[in-house]
Amino acid sequence: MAIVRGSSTWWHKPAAHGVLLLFAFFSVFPLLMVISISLRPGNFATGELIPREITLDHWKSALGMTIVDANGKLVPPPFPVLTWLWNSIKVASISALCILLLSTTAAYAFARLRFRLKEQVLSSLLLLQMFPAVLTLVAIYAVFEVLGTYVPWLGLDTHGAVVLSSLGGISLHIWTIKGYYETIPAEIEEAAKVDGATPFQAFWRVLLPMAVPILAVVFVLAFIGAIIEYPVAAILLNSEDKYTLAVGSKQYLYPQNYLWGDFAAAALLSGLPITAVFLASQRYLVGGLTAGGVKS
Amino acid sequence: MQQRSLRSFRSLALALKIALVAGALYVVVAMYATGQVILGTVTLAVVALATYVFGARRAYAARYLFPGLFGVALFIVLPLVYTVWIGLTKYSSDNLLTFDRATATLMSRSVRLGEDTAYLFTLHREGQSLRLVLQQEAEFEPEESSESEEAPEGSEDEGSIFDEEPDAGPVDAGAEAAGNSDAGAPAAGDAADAGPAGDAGAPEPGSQAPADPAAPAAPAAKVHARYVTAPFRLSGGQAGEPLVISAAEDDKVSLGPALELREIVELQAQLGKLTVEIPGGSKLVNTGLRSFAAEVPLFTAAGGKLTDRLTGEVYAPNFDTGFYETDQGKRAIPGFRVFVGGEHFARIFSDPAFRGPTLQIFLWTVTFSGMSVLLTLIVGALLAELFSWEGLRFRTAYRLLLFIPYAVPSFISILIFKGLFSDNFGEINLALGQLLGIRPAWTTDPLLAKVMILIVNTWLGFPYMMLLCMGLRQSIPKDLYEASAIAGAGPFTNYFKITWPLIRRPLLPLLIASFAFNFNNAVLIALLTDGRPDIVGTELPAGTNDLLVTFTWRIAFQGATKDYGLAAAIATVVFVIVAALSILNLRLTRATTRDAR
Repeated sequence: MAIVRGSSTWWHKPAAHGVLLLFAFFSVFPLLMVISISLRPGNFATGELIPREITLDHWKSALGMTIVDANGKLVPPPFPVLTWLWNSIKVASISALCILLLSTTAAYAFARLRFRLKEQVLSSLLLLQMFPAVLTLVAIYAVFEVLGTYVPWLGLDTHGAVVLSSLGGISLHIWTIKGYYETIPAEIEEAAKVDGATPFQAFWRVLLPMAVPILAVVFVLAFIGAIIEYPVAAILLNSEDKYTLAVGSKQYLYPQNYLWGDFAAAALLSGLPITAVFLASQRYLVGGLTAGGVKS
Repeated sequence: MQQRSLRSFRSLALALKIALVAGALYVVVAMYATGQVILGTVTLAVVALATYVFGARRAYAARYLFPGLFGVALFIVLPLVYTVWIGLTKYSSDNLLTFDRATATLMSRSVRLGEDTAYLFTLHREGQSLRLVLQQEAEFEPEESSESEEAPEGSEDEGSIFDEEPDAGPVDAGAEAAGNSDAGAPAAGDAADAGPAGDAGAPEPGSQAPADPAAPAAPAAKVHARYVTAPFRLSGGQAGEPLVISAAEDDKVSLGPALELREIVELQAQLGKLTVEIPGGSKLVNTGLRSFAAEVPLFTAAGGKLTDRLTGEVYAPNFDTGFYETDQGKRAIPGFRVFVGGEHFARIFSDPAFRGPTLQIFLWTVTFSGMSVLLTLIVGALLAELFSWEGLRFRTAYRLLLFIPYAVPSFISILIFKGLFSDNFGEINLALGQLLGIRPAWTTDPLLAKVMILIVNTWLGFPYMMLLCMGLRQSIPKDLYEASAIAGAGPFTNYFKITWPLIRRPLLPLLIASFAFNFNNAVLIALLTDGRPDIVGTELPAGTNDLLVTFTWRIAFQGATKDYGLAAAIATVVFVIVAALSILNLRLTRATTRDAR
């Protein structure tokens, strides 16, 4: 707490508020626009930013209901948004769970066990994490094309392939979890071992329960990472009912089939839950990120 | 009691392990059996390693490491290595298959021989079913051939894989004898006639028939052969499944009434899906309203070379270009994958038609990443500095609002901007038009598209920079600012003399990471502009605001020729750049942590 305050002239405060207000406006503006667009009749800009007439048609469409247009014609929903949302949630949950399984044990070894080349392996993990999957799209595509001939549910156009390819993101999470393990005193596990626990029991019964907060953080991070993943899913999936939300949402805004109003409703419908999850876990996320930071 | 349950648990675990290993070995055997030797060997190695790690006491630490490191190896290292490998091979939509599969595909090409080998057919009703009767005639009426020429529908490509369509007349006549006899005959017999046919160019009617010594007792010899099929049903509609039936020589069977021509016309779509096997192995397909004719393989193989039955051209595999080629360089499609070494890299760096767009895209990638980092840093640092001012009211409310761009899933906000920035339908142009009377062409003007991309990316990225700067600023001792306040320093002096010098070093590795992230920020470009507007007059699809990553994406998955090899080569170049950035980053991180101690 600074006791001595800096000199502050009369215009400093209004200027600061002005800048903050400006940026706050820019941050919120697109979202406000989308809310307005989702309630506006039709799919084109009508010359007003706040709609004079309000309709729930776009929302009904997004929820999969058939609507009646101005001419009394029945309009089926353009895309299966709820199916996409479900696909996204399914793929993201499974891949987050797998990432968690793979990274907790490896992080334990890095944090507690002693073995050769530990530092080198850790560094190379950090290095590998810099290569995103989007760089290896061609290889991923080719691999799953071959794999699909042996294991049909891991071929092209399957969710299994998307889940499997998303597991490449584990190296960063190994670091995050390892950082957290190191904040837990090793003496607790040693006490358990003195009482006759095997190393695995010490890990499973003692360390893991204490690490639940970081496991939740990693789960949410991996979940969101999988939800917003676009390039790999776009290459692997090609039938409309298999799309994830990120792949499917793009279908609304093709110039030849421009469904701006429908998109706005679908984006809000599907984006709000994800945003809510993110905001709710944000406090822990920031803590978790720093816990896994530069600590070796 | 507990001892016993532990023992039974152990034996259960052992049984489970054995079952797992057995299952894995079964998969390996299946892989070998289908000819995937490399895949099988790799899987075998993994299974062996897993068995050792989970069985041997010495490898205890590895038990915990194995799942994670195995995942890293499989999902990060393997795609990286495989990408580099693809970058060294010719692998595109023209050269898609392996050599064996391309050869098999070419060998399965069939060609339909003409009317001289044809059988006239009649269809006879028998209850709900039909019987097909095939009768070979020595002579044909003239209108027969004209009718059957337009007929083949839903049939296989007859030599159309080549530029020049083999013309019906003389060729068909020449292939007469070869036709029916060779259809099922082994390749050895065909090899014999490859020689003379190759010299002649187009086989002459007279020359080929005697040059076919291996011809078995051919149906062609029996001028008046007559075959009858068992009763069968044609599946209804256009979407009927292909049907194979066999016919036998049969003179005794009593036939129902024959179908009229009008009824046959109605059935023609279904007849097109019918294949009739006759004794001797020939397969006949429908070629017209009155005729069935034999289909034979287009190519005959000898000594690794393929001979075109119709033109007599000899195609030899060329392992430099990845195609079967004639001496004149005419290619048979599909080609096959071949190792070409540094060819793609030479093309990227030296082919003038290619270097131009690549260089342009590279420069934009660097500009984009640099500008993104700079702009987000300026905005983020400014806002972080304002937030550190404790005398300011409503800080929490501001922070919540400013955090929104970070919380909304990026694919949704990018698409929202795509809509808002739309030239004709977008709200931004609507507002600009009403307020200032301008409607900038955000999506069609290359420069404006770049401006739009940077605006959107700054919007997406500044909250992260803000968080970083706020976090780092908290670790600066407060008394420094007290001292500067006593000295009468203003906010700018404070920032540039105290804050920035202190946060600069820990921030640098994070900025490099951000640069590397934006260098590969494919999601933004793919969802916002798709790289458009395109660069004019290039061979390959290239956009003015494509990043190197989206460029590889377009080469590999969009456009006419999907060139996986070239795309992978460019990706390999990007690997090198990213690796250099990462190593630099690691060094700087180490230096910072060392200083901090």
